Amino acid sequence: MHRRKFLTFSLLTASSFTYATTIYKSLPYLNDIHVNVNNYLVSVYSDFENATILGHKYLSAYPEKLTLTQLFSDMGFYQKRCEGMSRSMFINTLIAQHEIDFVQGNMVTVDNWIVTRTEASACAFLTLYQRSC
Amino acid sequence: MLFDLHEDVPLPSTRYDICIIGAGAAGISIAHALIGSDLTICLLESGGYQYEPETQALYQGDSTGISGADPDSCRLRFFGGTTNHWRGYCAPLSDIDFNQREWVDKSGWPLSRADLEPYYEQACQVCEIGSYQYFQDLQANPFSPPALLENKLALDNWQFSPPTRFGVRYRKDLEQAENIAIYLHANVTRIESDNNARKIERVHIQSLAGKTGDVHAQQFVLACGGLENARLLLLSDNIEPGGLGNKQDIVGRYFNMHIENEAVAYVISRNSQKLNQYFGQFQYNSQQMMTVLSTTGRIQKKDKLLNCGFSLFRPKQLETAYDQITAMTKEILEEKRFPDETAKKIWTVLNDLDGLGAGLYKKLSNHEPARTIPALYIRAETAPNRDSRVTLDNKLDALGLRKLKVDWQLTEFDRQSMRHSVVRVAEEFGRLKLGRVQLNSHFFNDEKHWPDSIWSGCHHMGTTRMSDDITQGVVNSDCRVHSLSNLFIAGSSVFPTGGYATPTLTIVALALRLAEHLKKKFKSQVVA
Repeated sequence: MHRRKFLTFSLLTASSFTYATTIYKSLPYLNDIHVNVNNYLVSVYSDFENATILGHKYLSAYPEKLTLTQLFSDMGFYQKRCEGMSRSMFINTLIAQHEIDFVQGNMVTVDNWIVTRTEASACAFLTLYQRSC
Repeated sequence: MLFDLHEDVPLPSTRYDICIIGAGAAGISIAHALIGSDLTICLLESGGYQYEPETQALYQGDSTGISGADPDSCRLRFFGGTTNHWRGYCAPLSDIDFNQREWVDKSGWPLSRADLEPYYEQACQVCEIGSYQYFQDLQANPFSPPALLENKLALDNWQFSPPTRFGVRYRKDLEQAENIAIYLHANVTRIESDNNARKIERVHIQSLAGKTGDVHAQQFVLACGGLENARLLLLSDNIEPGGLGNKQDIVGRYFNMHIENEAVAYVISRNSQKLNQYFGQFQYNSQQMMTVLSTTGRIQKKDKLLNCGFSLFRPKQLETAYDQITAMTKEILEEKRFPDETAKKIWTVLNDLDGLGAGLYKKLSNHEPARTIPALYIRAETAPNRDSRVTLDNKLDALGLRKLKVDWQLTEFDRQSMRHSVVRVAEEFGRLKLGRVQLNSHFFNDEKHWPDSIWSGCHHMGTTRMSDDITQGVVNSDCRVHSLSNLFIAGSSVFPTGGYATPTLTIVALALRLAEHLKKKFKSQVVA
């Protein structure tokens, strides 16, 4: 019995490690990106808790968006494009994308809130990142 | 001249040039426009000069469709009609409302906005609005609202009637007019045509006291409102089994109302004061005006939307601890006694220290703190729907006439159109950093039902719709019933579509146009 628990625990730890490594490999600047997204959301939301609630609800409503890579792409980024980007440039790009969404009507409805796809993706990205850490 | 059938007066015996049935906004506008003309006019009104419960009861009927269409709930049946309690909001229909829109089945008027424009100007005088200033001009609002994306939203300026109580305002003019005879308490119970149902010969009238008679005229104008116009045609079925003018089974169908709600969505804003200034009421050229956001024709076409307008609504503030404590203090000081339930009230105050603080702040700084969330007040067009209709019930009223049964139906197209229009507002508010928008879950979370809180604005439209195609409408562009040479219809029942604007200004404009048409018709007869 103890042995079985040990094996399960080892397997789970190994999977988590592999998952985290995969994420880091696919998005090499993930930690930086997380901080940047965080900063961007602070500029949009006065109450940061709302951003995480929105992110959680967006993920529940659109389960197909449940990967960081997908959300990263929905924010208008490609891995290569953001390599070497400064923090301020990254945030400005997100803000610009957010504003373009308003003009182009690139909106989603989450919990009856009408929000831009960029901000919804950013909130979800943050939520998912926090979950995976 | 005034005759009240509840008094000992002679019944109409002469043959009038024009008989107008109904003295509401449309009927009074036509009669007033014909004062001093060579034409003899008989104006028939079911009620008296005041509200009478027994006359009002003649409006009772059933509503089997979506709530908000109870036939007795907002109409008034006495001289002046429903203008006796209207709010005075006035705006013309938009250009696009008159167009045939391929994404809106059965849309399109046989008229254009330009055809009605001169009558809108006159209607402004009749409704005592002042000069006609309906233009999309940002400069009109002294707070200079920001420019909106032209392919999404526009700013319309609405004007206000005092509001004019037509019965009170025009009563004297009409009574004193030598060519007009007003008959009060004269309920039209039947419109009688010749044997071929080609021409109206007379209308049968009856008072609630039992006095009966006939009114003969050359031309007849039915002006009893969006529901009653259809009811009278359906009731007059002794020659044509389905009712007069109803060979195509259109009378009573396409019953249409606006969707109005004071909180279709909420706006969370750090600039609520600016929002109020941009999209609230203001003075322009010493006239009261209001800025209304509306979806542009371009976005309606692109996204296949119905017309829709929004204004800001600030819900009434709840009574706070500050209000409670003020009332208590006043009672103690002035009446020298403790108020009822003092302990309960003190407990309420202790539980709302925020409210107490906000109230004190307001009092000390003379500044209004933002304690309520502004909401979007929607006025939405609904699509013509053949299944949305009024019919005759088997229940009878006090005159022995079949009552109305109203079955107002909305479709998913109406709901989705509203939703998309709100999203366009959310996009613009977000882009301009004016606020963020949350949809009211009552409207959009349940796709099978419409909420009970829905309101129609009491704008009954479409039951005798206008079309130059006899198979698509009851009246032609002159408002004449297709199959009858001398029966005209005035009022919002002729609207094929209703836009998002309140209907009174258009009702009056169409009535004035009809008055002019009748004048010309008689003139040409004399010449001939």
